[in-house]
Amino acid sequence: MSSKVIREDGFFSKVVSFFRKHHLTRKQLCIPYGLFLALFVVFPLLLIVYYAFTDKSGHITIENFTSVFTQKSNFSVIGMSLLIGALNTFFCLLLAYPIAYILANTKFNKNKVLVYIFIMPMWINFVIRTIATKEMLSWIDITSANHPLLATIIGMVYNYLPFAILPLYSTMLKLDKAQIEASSDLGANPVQVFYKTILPMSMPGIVSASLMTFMPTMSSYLIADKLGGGKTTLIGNLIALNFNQANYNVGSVLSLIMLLLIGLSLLLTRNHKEENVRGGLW
Amino acid sequence: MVNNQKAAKRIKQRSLLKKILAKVFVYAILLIMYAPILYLIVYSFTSSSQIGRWEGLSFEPFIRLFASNNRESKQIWQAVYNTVSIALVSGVISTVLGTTGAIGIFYSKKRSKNLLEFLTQIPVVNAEIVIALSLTILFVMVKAQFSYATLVIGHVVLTVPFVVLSVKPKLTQMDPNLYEAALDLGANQTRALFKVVLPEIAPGILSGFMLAVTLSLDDYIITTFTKPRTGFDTISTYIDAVTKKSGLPIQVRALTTIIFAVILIVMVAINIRSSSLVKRRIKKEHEKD
Amino acid sequence: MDNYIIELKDVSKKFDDSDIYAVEHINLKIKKGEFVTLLGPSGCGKTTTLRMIAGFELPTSGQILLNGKDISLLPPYKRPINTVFQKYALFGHLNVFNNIAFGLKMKKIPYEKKNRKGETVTKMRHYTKQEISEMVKDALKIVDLEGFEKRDIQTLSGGQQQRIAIARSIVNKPEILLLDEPLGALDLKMRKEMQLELKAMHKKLGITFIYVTHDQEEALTMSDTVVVMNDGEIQQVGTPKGIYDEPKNAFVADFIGESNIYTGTMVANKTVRFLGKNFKCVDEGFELNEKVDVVVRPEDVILSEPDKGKCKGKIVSRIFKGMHYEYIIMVDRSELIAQSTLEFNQGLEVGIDVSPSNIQIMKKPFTSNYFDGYINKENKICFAGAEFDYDLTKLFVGYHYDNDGNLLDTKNQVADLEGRPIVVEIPFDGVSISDDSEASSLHGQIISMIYHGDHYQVIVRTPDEDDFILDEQDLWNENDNVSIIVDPQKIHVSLKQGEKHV
Repeated sequence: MSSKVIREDGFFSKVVSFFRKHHLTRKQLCIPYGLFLALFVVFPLLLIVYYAFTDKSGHITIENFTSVFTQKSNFSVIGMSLLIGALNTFFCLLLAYPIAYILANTKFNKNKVLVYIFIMPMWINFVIRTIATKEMLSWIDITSANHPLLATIIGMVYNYLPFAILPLYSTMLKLDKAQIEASSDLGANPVQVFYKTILPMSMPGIVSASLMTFMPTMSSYLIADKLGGGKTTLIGNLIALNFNQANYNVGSVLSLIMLLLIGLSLLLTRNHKEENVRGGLW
Repeated sequence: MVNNQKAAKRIKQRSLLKKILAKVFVYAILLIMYAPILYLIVYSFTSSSQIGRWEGLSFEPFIRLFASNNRESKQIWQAVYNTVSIALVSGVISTVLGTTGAIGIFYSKKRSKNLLEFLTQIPVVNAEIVIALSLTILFVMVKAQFSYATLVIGHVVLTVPFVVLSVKPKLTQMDPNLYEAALDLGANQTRALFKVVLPEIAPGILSGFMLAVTLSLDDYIITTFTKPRTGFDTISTYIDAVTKKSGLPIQVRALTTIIFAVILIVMVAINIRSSSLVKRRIKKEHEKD
Repeated sequence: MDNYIIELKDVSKKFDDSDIYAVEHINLKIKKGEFVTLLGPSGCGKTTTLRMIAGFELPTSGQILLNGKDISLLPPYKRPINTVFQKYALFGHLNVFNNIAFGLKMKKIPYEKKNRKGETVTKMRHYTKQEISEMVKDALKIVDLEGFEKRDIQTLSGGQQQRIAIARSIVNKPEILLLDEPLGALDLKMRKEMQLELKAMHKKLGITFIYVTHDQEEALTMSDTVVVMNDGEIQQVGTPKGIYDEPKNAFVADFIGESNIYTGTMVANKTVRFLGKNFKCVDEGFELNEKVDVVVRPEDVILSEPDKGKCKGKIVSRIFKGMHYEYIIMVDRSELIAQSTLEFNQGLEVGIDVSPSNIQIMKKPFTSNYFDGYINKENKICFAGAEFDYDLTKLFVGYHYDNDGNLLDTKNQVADLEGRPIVVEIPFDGVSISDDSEASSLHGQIISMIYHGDHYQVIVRTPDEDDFILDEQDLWNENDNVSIIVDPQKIHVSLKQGEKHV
C-alpha cells in the first residue's frame, strides 16, 4: 500500500499524466496502420514515379514517355479504354438506377433479401464468372471472334452492375420522402417530380456509381482478354503486358497515365458528395 | 360517389400494374445476371467436355472433382485451399490493422487525421493494376522473393482501407461518453478500449472483416502480380491459366455449383437469423410496454 | 482540516483548439454531504468544471483538492468520484447486471492475510462474484428496479436507463457523485418524479452530489447550494432562497426566476428613483446620484386602484397562469411584469407599488466602457483592435497641430507619442451596433442581452475579447455578429495612471 502511494505522487503520476495529456494510448494505435500505408501504398507509388523517369540502369531519362507517346497504337488503347469505360458506365447506370429505385421502395422489397441476391454473384469467383459469361455468350453466338467489342462490354456490365447498384441503393434509401411529396404537393407531375426532385437528390449515388464502374473498367484487362480475345486492348492490358516482359519503366509511365485519368475523373466529380464506396455491401 | 369509386379503382389498378411491371423488370434483370452461372450449373450435371453440348444427366463432373487420383482435381482443391487461406489470413491481418488504425485515426489530432484519411482513400480509388505494379516494383527492388507473404501484403493493401471505412462510422456514432464512463468506473485506458470501445464497434469490425474476405476471395489482378512465380495458384489464377491453354475443366463446373450452393445456404442462414433477431427485438419491445 | 470534501483553487481551463477560456479563475469549496448545483446557460463552463472534477479534462491552471489532497492530474479511474452522464452512456453490449457490476469488477480491495511467517499482511483482491451480485442487487433496490439484472439496455425506457446509470455509479460508493444534466432527456412528468427521487436518494446515501443543470427551477428545488455561473466565471454562490431573494447582479436576477430590471438613480440614502418615481428601499452604501440596477420580482409588484399606487400604468396584456394572473403593464415607456391574484381587465389603468424590502438595488458592474489603449505612430488612438482619430491636444496641454496635421509639442518639435498607454472611456450611449457588416471596421458577437424595462443592455464581445456594453432599443439574438459603431464625439481619453502629463 505505502509503496503505491509514493508512486502516485512521484514519477509514475507524471508519466501517467503525460500519457493522459497526450492521449497517446489511443492515438498511437494508428502507428502500425500509418507505417503500413507509408511502406506499401505511398512508397510504391513514389517508386512508380521514379521508374517512369529512369531507364533500366537507373539513369534519368524521358525515353519511356517518348516511347509511349510516339506509338500511335497507345493512343488507340487509351481511346478504347475511355470508350469502354464510358459505355460500361452508361449501361450500368441505365440498368442499376431503376433497380436501385425499386429495391429502395419498402413496399416492394421488404427485408433487403433482393439486394443480397443482386450482389451475390460477387461472392462467386470473378474469373469463373467471366469464363461463364464468355461460354454463355458463345452459346448465343457472340464470341471474341465476331463481336469482340460487344462481348467485352457485356462482360463488363455483368461484372460491374452490382457495384453500380449498391451506392445508388444506399442513396435512394436516404431520399427524403417528404421532399418528394412536397414537390408533387406543389403541383409537379410525376415526370417533373423525377427531374426536379428525385434525380438531383440521388446525384451523390450516381456520382459514386459512375466512379465505381468507370475507374476500374480501364484496368480490368482479364475481361478484355477473355471476352475480347485480344482485339480490345485496355490500358490494363498494356500494363500487364509490360509487367510480363519485366519492362517496369514503360509500365510505370502507363500507370502514371492511368493515375492521371483517375485523378481527372475524381476532380470532375469532387463537387458532389460521394456515397461511401462499396460500403453498403454488408 | 360512383365516379369516386371508379377513380379509386383506377388508381388501385394503376399502382398494381406499376408493381407488376417493377417486379417483371427486376426479376428479368436478375435472370439475365444469373444466366451465365446457371448455365455453368446446368452443365455441371452432364459429362460433356464442352459446355453447351448436353450429353444426358450425369454426375461425372462431381465424381471427377472428388476423385482422389485426379491430377486436375488435386490442383483445383489446392487452389481452393490457397484462396480461402489467403482470404482468411489477409482478412484477419486487415481487420486488426484496420481496426486499430481506425481507432487511432479517430482520436488523432486534425492534421494527422486528415493525412491518414486521405492515404486511406488512395487504394480505394486507385486502379488495382497500378497497386499491383507498384507493389511488384517494390518487391523486385528490395529483392524479395514472391511468396505467400508478398501475396498476403498485396491483399492487405487491397482490403485494409475497407476495414477502416467500415469501422469509422461506428466510432463516429458511438457516444463519446462511453469511453469516459469506463474510465470513470475504474477501468484504465487499455481496459476501457477492450471492454467498451471494441464491443461497441464490433458490428463495424465484423462487416469490415467480411468485406475484406470477400474482396480477397474475388481478387485476380493483385494475386497474379504478387503470388509466388511457380507452383502456387488461387482459383482465379488457376482458371485463368487453364483456360489460356484449353477449355474449362469439367470439375470447375461442379465446383461452381458447390460454391453457389454454399453461398445460398449461408445467405439463407444469415437471413433467418437476422429476421429472428428482429422478431425477438419486437417481442422485447412489446414486453416493455 | 476543514470539512470541505472538494475544493477548486483558482482553476482555469482553456481548450487546445480555442483561444477563449471555458472556465476562468474559479474558486469553490464544497462541504461533505452537500447537494450542490452548478447552474448557468449553455456554454457557461459548468460542464467543463464538472468534467475537471471527474478527471476527463485537466485544468490549464489551478488546483483541485479532494479532502485536501491535490488530484488535479489524477486520471478518472483513480478518483473516488463517479459520474452520471447526460445521455446515460450505458454500455449497450452489456446487460443491466454487467453494466452495474462494471466498476466493481475493476476495483481491488485490501484484505488482511497471514503469510507463512504468521505475520498479518495487507493484500489486494477483487470482489468475489457473490459480493458483486449482492451489491448490484442492493443498488437496483435503491433505484427501484429490482429484478432487472438480466434485461438488455435497449429494452429499457429512458427513465429506467437513467436509474440504471445512477445505480452503476452509486454501487461503487463514490465520495462524490457528479450528475451532468441527468434529467435533460426525460419528459416533464418523469423529470419532476426523478427530481424528488434524487433528492431522497441524496439524503439516504449521504454522498456529496454535484449536479449540473441549466434549468433554474430544478436547481432551486433540489439543491442545498446553488452556484450560478456565466461566461466561465462564478456569479454567485448561495442557498436557493438567498440567490432568489438577493441576486448579486443583473445576470443572476435575470437568470433565476422572472424579474423586472431597471436602471435607477440613488436620489437619497435608501431612496432610489426608477419608473419616474422615488421609491424607498433598504439597501445602503451607495453614493448620491449613483446609477444602479434595480430588480423587482413580478410577484412583489402590488397592484391597486390607479390613485392608490406610487405610480400608474396601463395593462397591455393579461395571461391566466392558474394560481394567478400575469400582467404586462406599461409605465410611461417602460415595461413591467406583475403577478397578482387580483383580476384587472386589459386596457385598465392600475396603481403600482413595491414594498421597500422587495426592491433589490445592485451596483452596476459598469457604468461606462473602459479600454486600455495606446497612441500609434500616426498619433491615432488604438484600442479594442481598432484605431480612431482623436484630438490629442485635449490630452497634452500646450500641444498643437501644424498646418500639415503634425502634432507639435510645447517646444514646436514634432511630438513622439508612439506607444504611450492610455485609458479610453466610452459611455453606453456612445456605442451602437448594426447588422451591416460594412458599417464599421470593428465587429463582435452579442454575448448577453438583459431587458431593462424600456431597453436592452447588450454586451458585445470582439474577437480580441474586448467587451462593449451599450443600451439598445431593438431585440437582437445572442451570438449575433454585429458591427460596433463608436461615436468619436463621446470618446474620452485619459493617460494611464502613473504616466506623467508632459
